Amino acid sequence: MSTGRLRMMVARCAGLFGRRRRERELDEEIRHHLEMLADRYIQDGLSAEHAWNAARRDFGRVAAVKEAYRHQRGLPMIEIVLQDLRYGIRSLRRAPVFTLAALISLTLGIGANSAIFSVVNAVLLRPLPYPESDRLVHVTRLYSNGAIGSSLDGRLYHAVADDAATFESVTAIGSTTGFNLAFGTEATYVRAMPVTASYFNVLRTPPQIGRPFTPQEDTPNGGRVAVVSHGLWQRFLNGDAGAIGQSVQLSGEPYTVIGVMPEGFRSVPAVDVWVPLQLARSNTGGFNFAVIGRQAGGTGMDQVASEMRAITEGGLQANPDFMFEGQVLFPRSYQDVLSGNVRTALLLLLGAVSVVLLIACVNVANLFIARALSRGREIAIRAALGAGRRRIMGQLLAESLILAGAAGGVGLIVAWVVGPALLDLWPGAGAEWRSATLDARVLLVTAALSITTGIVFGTLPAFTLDSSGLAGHLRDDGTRTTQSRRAGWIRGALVASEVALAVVLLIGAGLLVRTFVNLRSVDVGFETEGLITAQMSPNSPRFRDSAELSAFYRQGLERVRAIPGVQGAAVVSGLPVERGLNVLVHDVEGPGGEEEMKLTDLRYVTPEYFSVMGIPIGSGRTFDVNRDVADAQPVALVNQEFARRFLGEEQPIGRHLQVYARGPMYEIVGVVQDVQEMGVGRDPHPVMYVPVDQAQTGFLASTHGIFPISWVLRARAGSGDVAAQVRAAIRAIDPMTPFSSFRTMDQVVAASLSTPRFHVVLISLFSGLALVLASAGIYGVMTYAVSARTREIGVRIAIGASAATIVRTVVGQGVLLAVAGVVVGLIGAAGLTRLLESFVFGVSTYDPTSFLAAAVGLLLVAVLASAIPALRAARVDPVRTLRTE
Amino acid sequence: MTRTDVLQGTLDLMVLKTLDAAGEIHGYGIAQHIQQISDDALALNQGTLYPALLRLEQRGWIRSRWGRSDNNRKARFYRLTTAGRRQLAAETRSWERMAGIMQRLLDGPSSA
Repeated sequence: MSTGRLRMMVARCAGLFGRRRRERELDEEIRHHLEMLADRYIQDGLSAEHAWNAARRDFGRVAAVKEAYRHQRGLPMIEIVLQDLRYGIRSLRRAPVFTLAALISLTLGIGANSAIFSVVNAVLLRPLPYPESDRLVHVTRLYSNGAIGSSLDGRLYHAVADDAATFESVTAIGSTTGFNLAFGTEATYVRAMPVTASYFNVLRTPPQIGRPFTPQEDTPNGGRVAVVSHGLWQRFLNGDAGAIGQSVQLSGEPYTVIGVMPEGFRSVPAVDVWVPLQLARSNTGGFNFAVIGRQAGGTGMDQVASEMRAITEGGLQANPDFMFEGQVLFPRSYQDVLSGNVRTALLLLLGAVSVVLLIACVNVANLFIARALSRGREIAIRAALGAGRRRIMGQLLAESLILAGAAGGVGLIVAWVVGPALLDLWPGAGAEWRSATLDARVLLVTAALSITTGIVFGTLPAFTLDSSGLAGHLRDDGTRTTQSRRAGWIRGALVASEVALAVVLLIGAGLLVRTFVNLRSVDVGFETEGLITAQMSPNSPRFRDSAELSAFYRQGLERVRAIPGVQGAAVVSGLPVERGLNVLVHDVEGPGGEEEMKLTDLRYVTPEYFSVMGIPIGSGRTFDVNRDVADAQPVALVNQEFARRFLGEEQPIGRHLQVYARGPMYEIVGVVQDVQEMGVGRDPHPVMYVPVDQAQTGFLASTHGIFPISWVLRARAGSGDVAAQVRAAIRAIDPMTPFSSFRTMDQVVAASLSTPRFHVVLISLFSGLALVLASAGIYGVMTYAVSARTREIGVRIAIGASAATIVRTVVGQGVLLAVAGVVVGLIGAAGLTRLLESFVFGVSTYDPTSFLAAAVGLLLVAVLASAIPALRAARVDPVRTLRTE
Repeated sequence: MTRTDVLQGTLDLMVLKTLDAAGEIHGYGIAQHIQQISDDALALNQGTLYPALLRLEQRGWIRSRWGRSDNNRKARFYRLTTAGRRQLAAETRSWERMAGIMQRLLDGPSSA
């Protein structure tokens, strides 16, 4: 570029600014020129008025000069855009109803999308909150049937940690455990996570104060040390740096606090205490470890995968028991693993919400077309005055972009407010360690969404303006406008398509609503009313012994039962609907061998449990307080599913089950009815119950290490604050074993339904929006069609058409559009509902009720939406319409 | 009297020449100068001067400042820059060349 042209560009860019001052200076210069000219004519003897006219004549048209000057001054392109925008804002303000309708439609559409996208962003796109988290890899097992496991045993962990060169460091994370943490005389319930010393290296996050575990501390009996969260340190250790080196009690054992993690650090799941895993090399420890590796720089996932295969093969050669047949070590991105369970739901909801936006766009496009048609005269005049087609399109586009931009702005506010709340409420989305705050990506996507929608619905109306129509508008008298065939066809198609989209969403919502209703009506198998549950962690050496434990329960239950209003109380090691400990039991009378190991849920109970819960005994007897004591014959109850699945036709009562090798043989004395064991709507699950007095030490340690135990009590309605009295009663006998939570059984059941409930609420919201938008669309088009045909209708009435005929014609037209949309929607839904397969319960994805309800619902809405304009049409006064000719 | 329209592209040269001859001068002065030199034979819409002045200023050939005119009115005065003087010389040469060509062409033999 030559310096001259460069200079010109700079000057022109500068010309974009200080518009007002430059404009004033130009005015002043022109006025000076005119005054000088006029002065001369006055000196020549002309009157002031004539002199002024002569001056104007010599100067030429001021407006044209100014226009040419402005054109030269800035960048005409940008000037035109700015001018179009100013013009657009003015003309939008002149049509407040249109503007508001369009703005509401778009804001709902864009806002909902921004909000859902901000959650998608938080869960699927944002890196995990650890430095260079894209290099974190979760190692698990791939089964021969393609299923993916979630855990490794100690032997596999050590093989990976020792041999993998593609990992810089590897950590194993044990099961998160509930502990009672005591400091001085205060006790609180905390979740603790056993991790290897390498944990802090792998996550690249050392403690902020103090130090991580040493490798020595991470060996069996390496010492009792703990790292605590910033929150716990603030809350419980007074935020004092002197807390380092202090001793706290973790479930009765003294631990030394050696480190405090940085504020904002969250583990997955979020816990408050980290303790060394202290896994012996000789101990496989069961498949209880999540193994996370940090990829070394410069290695790809392919390399990691092939190294994992090599380690599998090497391990199997050295030891055939290294892994089960057909399994292989399998690496996956940690990010993907952590978002796995909500990914599908998130993407489906994102799909649903984009359908809402699509409908909103269709609506606004329709509004724009109607507006363009009714502005035909204005546009025709401007075209006649020399505005080119491109200029007119530019102005229409400017209006749509202003609207979309404003809607995008509001959409961002919606995302900012609703996004984090949505993440909080989203079951399993990990709100405790993720955040859905606005970031550049949400901003960018919202902006892109606004601009795209603006362009889409801004250019659509321009296509309906055929140039031949423009001249027609000029001849027009302004009281009627001719709706071009093309515009009518496009508008009809748009409305039909939004109806189709709404049908698809409504059917999806119908399926999920039916699912939720089915889940709600599932009989959980016991009386939830008046049932209160309270959790605690007896995870302490004191309670490893069943005698001590059952004495504590007996004493506690006595005091709890004494509370007025409490009708019964019992203790269970794992609440139904939630889950208990899985163990392999040996069916002693069975054919024997490995195959006879049964995988069952094992729970201990106090003898009154079944009567307090209201779980009926199917056959045999229940536990007896006096008979089934510690040194009596060990007895067990099984549920019906256990009997059905493992014993088939055979008589369960009298058979013996052995939980651990060399452990006692429990005699089955009764069969209890199935309850919803693993969550509402889940398949029945085998369960074995033993009395707490006869529970083995190993079982107690395992179950207490993973699950809190629950007190269940039945209280009469209106018996006051039972929770506080129960808390006080137990505190009186053991202040170091506090309750972690009190919930009614109804809340427990409701929590199990939180995910389907959440889906139902969101999808209902979206399909409700879709329905409203679609009906507004039908209403808009029919209203317009009626007003465009006022004359024709007037003539018809004049020659004798009845009001009923007119109403029928108009409503018929609206319904015809809706029928077209409904048919397309039904076909579309039939292809799409398969995606909901894993979300429905007790209903087919082709559920005729849902399909029918959506179709009928939309047709009804179509009738209503076209009835209003139809009634208006029937009231047309033929004399008036004909007179306006 | 018939007036000649200003030939496309010649206004810039007229302005540059006027500023070269008259020194620092405002828009009205430039218009009067051109009208006088042309003996009022030029049909000049005086307003068209202003976009031309802006264009020349943007190219860096002239510069302007606000000042007081003879009758003590506020006015904008324009003057030639060094670059403008060079441009004037170049454009004068090219105009003369063009005029020469036209002259020879028109003086040439005709069939009539």
